[in-house]
Amino acid sequence: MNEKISIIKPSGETEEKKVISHFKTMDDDKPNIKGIPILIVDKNEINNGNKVLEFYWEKEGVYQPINDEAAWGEVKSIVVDIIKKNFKIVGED
Amino acid sequence: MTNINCLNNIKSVKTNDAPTKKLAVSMEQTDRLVANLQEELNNFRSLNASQNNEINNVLPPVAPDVLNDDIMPFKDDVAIPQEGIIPPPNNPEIKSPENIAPVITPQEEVTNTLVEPVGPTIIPNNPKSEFDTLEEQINALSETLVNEVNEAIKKYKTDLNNLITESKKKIDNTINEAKNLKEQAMNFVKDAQAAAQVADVARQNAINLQKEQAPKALELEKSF
Repeated sequence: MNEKISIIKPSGETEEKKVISHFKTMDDDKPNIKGIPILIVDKNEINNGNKVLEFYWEKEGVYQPINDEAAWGEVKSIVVDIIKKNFKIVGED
Repeated sequence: MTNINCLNNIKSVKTNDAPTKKLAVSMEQTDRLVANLQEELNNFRSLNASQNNEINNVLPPVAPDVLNDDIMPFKDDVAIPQEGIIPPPNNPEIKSPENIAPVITPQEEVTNTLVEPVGPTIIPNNPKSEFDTLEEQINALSETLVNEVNEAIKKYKTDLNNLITESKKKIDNTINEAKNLKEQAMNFVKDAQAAAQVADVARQNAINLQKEQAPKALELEKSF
């Protein structure tokens, strides 16, 4: 995915960012994020030579920060799986 | 193996001002993240197209636009307003035009769901502490694994030492029992030898007594 996305803040400020991935998982071993759309965008920042990625999840119709540590851990494990090519795309919505 | 569903492209999202979760990922890892996703997505689409072609060989031809929609559910040119939020499909498991088409939530409802703004995200002077890096995560996992392996080895060694000690005790006990049995057997032999000697003496005495008494008995018999 190399689409651009506009992040619109409550103040009305808009920031365009590159979408790294937009997915959800239906795996039962990811109970905290099962069926919830996860959005990964490039923050356009470099930190200690690393690219900074931002993560959102869809809650109550709004994409918002992942404020649940268990869910955040599951998201990170999926990112690690994708980087290690230990994943499979099973369907599209 | 993680199974993921790739979702439709979206043009804009509305979010609150709460600090986002961030991950510091190396350039190479980012490239792999995007490339692996794209490769797997292409494989998935090729598989779908292949399956659809097989079906088309046996089913009556369908209108090209319907066919294209079936084969390519991702339509890059789906028009999505810049303002508004795209909620997830009500039932993502069922592919239907309603699910594919974006549903726009009225602006008023969206506003009500937003968290009270807490101000812009502030990046501290030393931002490293705020980030989770994949390297740190992998290192933590590795460290956990090493610790678990070390604990397992330690427990195995302890169990092995206990087993050796116990086995040694059993062997010592068996040796001691064997020694006792041997001593008892030797005592039996000694007793038997002593009894045999006594029997020999008695037998010799009996022979001597017979030799000594036989002539006397003969003379006594003749006197009668």
